[in-house]
Amino acid sequence: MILALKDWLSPKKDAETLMSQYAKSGKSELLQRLVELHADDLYHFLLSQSDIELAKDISQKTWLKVIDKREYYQPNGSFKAWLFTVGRNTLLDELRKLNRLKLLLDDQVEPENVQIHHFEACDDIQIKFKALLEQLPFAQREAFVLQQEGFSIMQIAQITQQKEQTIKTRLRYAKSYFKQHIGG
Amino acid sequence: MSQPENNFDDKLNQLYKNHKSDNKLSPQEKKRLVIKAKNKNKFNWINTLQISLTAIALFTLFTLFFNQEEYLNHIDEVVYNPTNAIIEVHYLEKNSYHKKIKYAHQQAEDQLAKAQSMHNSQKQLRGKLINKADDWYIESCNKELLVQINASLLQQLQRNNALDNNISQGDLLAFKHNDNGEIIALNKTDNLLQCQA
Repeated sequence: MILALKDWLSPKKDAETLMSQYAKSGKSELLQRLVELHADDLYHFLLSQSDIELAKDISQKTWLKVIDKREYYQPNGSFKAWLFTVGRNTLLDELRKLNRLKLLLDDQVEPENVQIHHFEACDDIQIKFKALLEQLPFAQREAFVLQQEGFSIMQIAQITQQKEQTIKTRLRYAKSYFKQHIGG
Repeated sequence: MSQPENNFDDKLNQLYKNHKSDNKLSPQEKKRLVIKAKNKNKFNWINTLQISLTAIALFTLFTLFFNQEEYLNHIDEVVYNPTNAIIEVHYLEKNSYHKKIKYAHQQAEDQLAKAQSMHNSQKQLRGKLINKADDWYIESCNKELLVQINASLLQQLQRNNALDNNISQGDLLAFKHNDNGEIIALNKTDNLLQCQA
């Protein structure tokens, strides 16, 4: 009852509304709520594409960009998709600087050609999943993680600036890869 | 989509969620994200303030500098303008010292004349003997002033031992004045202290 009253007094706002208000006012409370909503999602996406240090660093840079470029936010689009686009671009820039861009060139690696290291004997399926995810080719991993984050094929294509057909292929390969190693 | 396919998707999704919950930012790290963002805003504000203050300081310095330039140029114009040149004639008549000032122009504003006079008294300290007949003509170093010294004043100076004996044409001479601006001595100066061009 009290919770319902509290919700009625201060209704929960979605990320798009919060971001629109933040873009206009720049109030840090709004930013804080956006961080609460999506900081973990972004961090996990970046972590799946890099390492802990880089993921934390890029997370910070991405949120700073959200502050700097808040006036460019389009209220009719998904905030999460915009956040991930900014985060992904920041990560790619950083990887270019670190000469780790070759990771991106493994686009069309088919599931059977992915090299798997020392986890077949592992009984813990969660550990196995973690290892499989780490060894999935960069572009397929990216598409897979974005799909798991709830983005549609079209949104993934927009975030990664690829054709929808390419995304579908990557997702098919990724799924096939997981199926091959952790079963149906 | 078939049932086993759906089951596999759910399984994958569950594994992903577990993986995600194992890899979250700590509350402190989230807090830090916001604090850094706030600091960045604060820094931007300080930065803007610093830039504004620097711009104001530069503008002030710039204005001061150019005002000073204008002032100095103005002084130059008043003091060194050749149209302000005058000729003074110093002479003794009936044992009385006379100084006649011939203005080379008609400007008679008191303030300007006073400033000119003060300027000239400073410039007269040194000059070059350009003609040595009965009367001496001494040109000031800046060539703006011609001082004619009457023979009677020369004799008086000689009597007072206030005139060097070996002065010849072209020599650089130094004047000594009393408080009234009257010449009381004429001395040959050191060659090192030549008039500047």
